[in-house]
Amino acid sequence: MTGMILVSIFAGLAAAHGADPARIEQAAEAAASIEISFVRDELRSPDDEEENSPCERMADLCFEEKRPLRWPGFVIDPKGRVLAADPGFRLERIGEIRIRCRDGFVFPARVGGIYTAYGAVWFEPAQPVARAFPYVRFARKDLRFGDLFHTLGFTYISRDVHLHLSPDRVNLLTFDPSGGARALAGVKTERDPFPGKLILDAEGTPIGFQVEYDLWDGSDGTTTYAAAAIEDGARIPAPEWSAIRTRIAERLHPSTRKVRVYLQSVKADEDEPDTTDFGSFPRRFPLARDGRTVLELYGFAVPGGRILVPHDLGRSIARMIARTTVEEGGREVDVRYEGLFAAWGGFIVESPPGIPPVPVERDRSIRRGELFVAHSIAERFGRRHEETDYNRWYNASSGYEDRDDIVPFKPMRAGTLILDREGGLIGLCVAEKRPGEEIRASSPYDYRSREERLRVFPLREVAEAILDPKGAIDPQAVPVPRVEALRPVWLGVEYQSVSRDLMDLAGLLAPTKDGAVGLLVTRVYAGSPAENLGLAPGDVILSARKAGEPAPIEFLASDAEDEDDFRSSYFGPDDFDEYGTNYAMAPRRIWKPCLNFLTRTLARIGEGQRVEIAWVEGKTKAAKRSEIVLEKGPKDFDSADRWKDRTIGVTVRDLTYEVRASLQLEPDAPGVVISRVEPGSKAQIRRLRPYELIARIDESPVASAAKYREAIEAAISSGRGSVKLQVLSFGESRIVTIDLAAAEGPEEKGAP
Amino acid sequence: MPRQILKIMPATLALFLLAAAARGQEPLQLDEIIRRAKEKVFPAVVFIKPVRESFEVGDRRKQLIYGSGVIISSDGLVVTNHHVVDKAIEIRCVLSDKLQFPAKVVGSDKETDLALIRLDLPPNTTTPHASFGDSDAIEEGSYVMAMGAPFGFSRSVSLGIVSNATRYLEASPYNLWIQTDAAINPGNSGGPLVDVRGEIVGINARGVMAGENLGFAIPSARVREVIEEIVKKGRVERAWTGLSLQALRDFSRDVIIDRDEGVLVASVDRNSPASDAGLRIGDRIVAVDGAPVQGVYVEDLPAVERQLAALPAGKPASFRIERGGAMLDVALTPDSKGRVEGGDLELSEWDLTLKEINRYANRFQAYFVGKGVFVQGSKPRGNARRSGLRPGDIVLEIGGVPVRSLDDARAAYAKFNALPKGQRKVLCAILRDGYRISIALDFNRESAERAAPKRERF
Repeated sequence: MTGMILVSIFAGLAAAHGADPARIEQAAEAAASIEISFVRDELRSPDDEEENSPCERMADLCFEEKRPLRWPGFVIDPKGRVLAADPGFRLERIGEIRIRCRDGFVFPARVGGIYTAYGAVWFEPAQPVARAFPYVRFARKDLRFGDLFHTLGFTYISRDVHLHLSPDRVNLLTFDPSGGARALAGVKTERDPFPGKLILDAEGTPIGFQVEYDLWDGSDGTTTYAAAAIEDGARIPAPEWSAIRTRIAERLHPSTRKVRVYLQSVKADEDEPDTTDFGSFPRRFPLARDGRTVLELYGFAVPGGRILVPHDLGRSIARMIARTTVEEGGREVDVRYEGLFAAWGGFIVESPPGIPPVPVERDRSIRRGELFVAHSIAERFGRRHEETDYNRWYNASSGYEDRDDIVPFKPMRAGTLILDREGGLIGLCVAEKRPGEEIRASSPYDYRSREERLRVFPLREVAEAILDPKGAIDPQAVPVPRVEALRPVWLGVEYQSVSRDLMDLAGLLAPTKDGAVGLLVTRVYAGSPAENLGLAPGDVILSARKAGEPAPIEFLASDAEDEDDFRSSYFGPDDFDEYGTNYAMAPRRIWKPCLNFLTRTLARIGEGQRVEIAWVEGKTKAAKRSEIVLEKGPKDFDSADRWKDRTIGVTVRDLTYEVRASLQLEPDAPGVVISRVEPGSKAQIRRLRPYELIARIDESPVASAAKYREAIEAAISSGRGSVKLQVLSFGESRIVTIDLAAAEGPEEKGAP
Repeated sequence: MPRQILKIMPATLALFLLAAAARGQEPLQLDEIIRRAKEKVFPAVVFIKPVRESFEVGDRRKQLIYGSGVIISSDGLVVTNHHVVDKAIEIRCVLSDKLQFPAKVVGSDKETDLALIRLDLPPNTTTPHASFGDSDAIEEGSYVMAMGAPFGFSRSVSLGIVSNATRYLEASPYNLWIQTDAAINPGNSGGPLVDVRGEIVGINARGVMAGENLGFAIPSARVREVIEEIVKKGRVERAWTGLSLQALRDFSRDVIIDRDEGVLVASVDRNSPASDAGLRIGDRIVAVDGAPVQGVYVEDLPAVERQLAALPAGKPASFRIERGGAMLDVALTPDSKGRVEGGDLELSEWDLTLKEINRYANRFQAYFVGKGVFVQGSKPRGNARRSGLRPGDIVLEIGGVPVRSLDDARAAYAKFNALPKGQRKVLCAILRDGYRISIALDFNRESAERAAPKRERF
C-alpha cells in the first residue's frame, strides 16, 4: 500500500446486481491505510512462539523487520475517525501511527478506543486536522434477512494492495434477533488477506462493517455488524482503557505474590537431574525441562488464608514438591502446599498473614457482549512481567460434558485471571483436567499436555473450589519424599515388548492381537505381586484394569518397544591415566531402570488401588486374570539409600534387588554400588569408577550404604590414616587404599 | 595430518643430527653407526601380506592385511606378531631383495602377541637373517630403529630413542614393553626394533594412534623365550591358577603395602585352582615352591605371572602366603591354561557369526554364563540384525535347544535351516546385559534381498 490505493471494481458484475458505480466509488473514497509502527516488547521473546499469539507475532515480525504494519480501515466521520478490525495485539505495543487516505493525505494518528462487544477499534488524528475527510455514510442502521450485499475490502493484486469489491448474496441471519443493533453473523466463504470490510447494499451504499476472525478453538469466519453497532455500539475511549489498566494493576498488586516451588531432583542429588519424568509439564515450563528444580510462579491471595496459583503442575510434579515459599517483604517465607485442584489447573498454598485477598464471589461470571480484562503475570527473563489486556467473549462451543466453552476473541495463556472493568475476579483461564486422563494416558510419549487444552472457567464454576478446596483437591497429587517418589508401584517383573513374529512362534497371536499388545515377561522377582499371581517368564501381560473402570488399559507393544533399546554399552574405552598404562575398560550400568512403561502406567492408576491384571500363560496358552492391590516396590537402584562420601569422593548406594539379579549376586552378597565419582577426588585418582561395587572395607564386608558410612566414619574417628577397599567389577576385584585426610577445598553444597 | 607428521619426524631428526655434525666430529660417527646397524638387520626384514579370515561383521570374509617380520635363521624362520598372522589362510612374504615366498605358521602365542612363521623356500636356499640383542641391557635414551612396512610401505626404517625400557601395560600379563618414539604405524607390526649394534632388541607390536610417536615393542628377551617354546612344542603352555595379582606398591591405586617381598592377591576366580586351594583376596604370596615372589611394583608383575605360568599343571605347588599377619603354606594345583580365545562359526543364512566364550578373552560374557557362545557379528542388513540380534548377545537357546558350544549352534543351524521357505523362523533365547530375552529370528529373506548397497561396503 505504498502508492495509491486503487479500486478494482467489477463494475459490470456489480451493475448486473443493480449496484451504482458512483456510490461504490463514494464509499471507496473513505478507505484508509493505517500504518502502525511498534515498540520493542522487552518481556517477550519473539522466538517464543508458543507463548505469543499470532497477532503478537505479527507485531514482532514488523518490529524485527523495521517496517510498519499496514492495516485497512475506513474513515467514518468528517473529523477523520477511522474504523478498523481489532488487530488483536496489545495496544501498548503501538509506537507510532500514520494514516494514509485514499487521496494521498497522510496524518499522524492514535488509538481512539475499543468497541466493547465487537471486534473493532477506531483510530483518530493525534492532533485536530483542518480538513473535511471523505467518510462512509451508512444508508441505514440495520441489516435485513435476505439482503443482497457487496463487500468492499482490501486485497493483494501483484503485491499491491487494492480495494476489492465482491458481489455476494448471502442470507444474513440475525445473531441476536432481540437486539437490532447487535452483530449479525454473515456467512462468507472467501477470506481476504485483510480483515475489515465495508458492507454495501445492493445499490452500493454502505450498510455495515465485516470483521474476519480466527479463534483459538480453531474456528474462523466473519462477523458482520450493522451500522447501528458502529455508530451506537458500546465502546471505551483509549484514555479510559488506560485508566482501567492502571486501576486493575493497582488493585491486584497488594494481593499478588511470587510463589516458588522447589522440586526434589528426580535423580539423586549426586547425579545430573533427570529431565524425563516431568510428564506434560516441561512443554510449558522450560525451567523444568532444563533440569532446574525451582519453579517461579505468581499467585494471588484468596479468602481463607490461601494463595491460589493458577497453573497446573500435574501429579508427577506435585509429588516432587519439596518446599513452597512465598515472597513477602523482600524475603522468602516458607508456606504449606495445600493441594492441586482435580478439575482444573491450579494449586493452593498457605498465605502468609497480612495479604489482602482478592474477593471471590460465587455468582460472578463472564457476560457476553461485555469487554473483560485478561491479567497474567509471569516470570520472564528474570523479571516480573505483568500483562493486562482487554478481551471479548466472542463465540461459544460445546465442550467436555457438553459444557459451554467460552471462546475469546484473543488467545490467552494459562494462568490468566479474568476480571471485569473494575478489577473484580470473574473467571480464570487455566488447563482443563478430566477424571482418569492420567491413567488413560499410559504412554509417556503421546500424552497431550493439558496445558495445551486451556479453558475459560467462569468464576461461578471454580469459586466453590477456591473458597472451600477440601473436596476439590486431587488426592493423588501430594508431595512424597524423594526416595518414595522415585520408588514406583510395581508388579515385580522385567519384560520385553512383543512382536508379531515372536508371538507367532510362541503360539500367542490371537490373545496378543497379532503381536500388537503385550509385555513378554522375562524375569519375575521373588516376593513380588507377580510371583504371588503365578506369573512366570514366557507369560504375556496384556492389560490392567482399575477396579470400577469400564475398560482396561492395554499394554501396547509399540509403547514398550522403545525401552527395549535400553542398553548401556557395558564397556567403553577409558581414558589413559597419568601412568599411560590403563588399558582397562570402564564399566557401565547394565541394570534397567525400574521406572518403566509398566510401572509408570501402574503409578498413574495409583498406589493402593485394586487392579485386575490380565495375562496369557506362555506354556499353557491359558488366559488368566487376577486382581491385586497396587503397592510400591522395594527400593531399587534409583531410589536406593545412599551416602555421599565427601572424604573419598564417591556416592555409594545399597545393592538393590534388581542390581543383584542383573549381576547374578546372592541375596546376601555384601557390597555397595558406586553411583558417582567426584571429578578430581581421591576416588577418581585411585581409578574407582561408577557402577563398580565396593565389597569390603579393611576386609570387613559392607552390607549397605549406611554400613559403609559407619565404617568410614569409624575409620576417620579412630585416627586411622587410610582404608583398604575391595572393589569388584564383573567378578574381578582389586584392592585400593585411600587415605582419609580431610578433603581439600570448601565443603560442597547439598545434602549428604 | 598425523600420518604426515609421523613420516616427517625421523627425517627431521636425521637432519638435525647432520646439522649438529657439521659443528663437530663425533656425530658423523653416529650416522655411520646407524647406517651399519641398519645394514645388519635390514636385509632380514620381511613384508608380510597375509590373507586372513574375519568373522567380526557377521560373515566369514577374507581380508588382506599388511604386517612385518624379521628372519632369524638362514632356513627362513620369521618372527612376527600373533595379530599379523592370526586366522591367516595364506601368507605371502616379500623379502628385502624383492623376492616373494609363501609362508606357514609354525606357532603363535596370543598372550605375548608373538608368532613364528617359516618361509617356504626352494631347496638349498638360505636367507639373510638378524640376531637378537640383549633387551635387558637397553636403557632409556638409546638410539633404536623401527623397521618394517608402515601402511604397506615396505622396507622402511624410522629412527628414535628408547622412551622407556620397562613399560608396564595392564593388558599384557607376561611381558613389559620397550616404549620408543621411533615411528611405529599400522604395518610395522612384527618388525624388529634394532639397536645401534645392529641387533634385534624388540618386536614392534603397538602404537598409540592418537599420540605422537608412542610405539611399543616386545623385548627380545621375552621373544627368545617364546620362540624357543614354539620351536620346541609348537605352542606356549602356561599354567592357570585363577589368581589376579596386584603390586604391593601400586601407585595408580595408591596401594602401598609396606613389605619388600611378595605380591598381593587382587582377585580369585570362581571355581579356579586358587579358590579350591582357599586363597583369598588380600593374601600376600611370598614364595612359590620355595622360590621368592617379587611383585613390589607393577613392573615386577609380568615376571611373577611368568613364574606362576611356569608351574607344572596338575602338580601341587606350595604357596607361602601372609594372611592377617600370619604366614601360611597352601597347596595349589594349577590347571593348564589352555586356549585363550574361542573358535568362530559362520551361520551364513542367518547373516551371523558366533564366537565361543573364553574366560580370558570374553570376561563379560564368561561372568554371566561361564561357557557358551555369543554373537560376534551380524551383517548390517542381514536377517539376524533385522530380527534384533546384536553383537555381544549370549545365545542360550535356539528353537528350544540349549546352546553351550559351537557344535550345539552348528547342529541347531543345520536343523532349522532345513525349514521350508516361508516358515524359516526360530525362537532364540538371548542373554543381553544379564537380562534373558526372546528373539524371533526370521531368515526367510534371500541373500540378494539383504545384500548391502555397494556404497555401504568397505
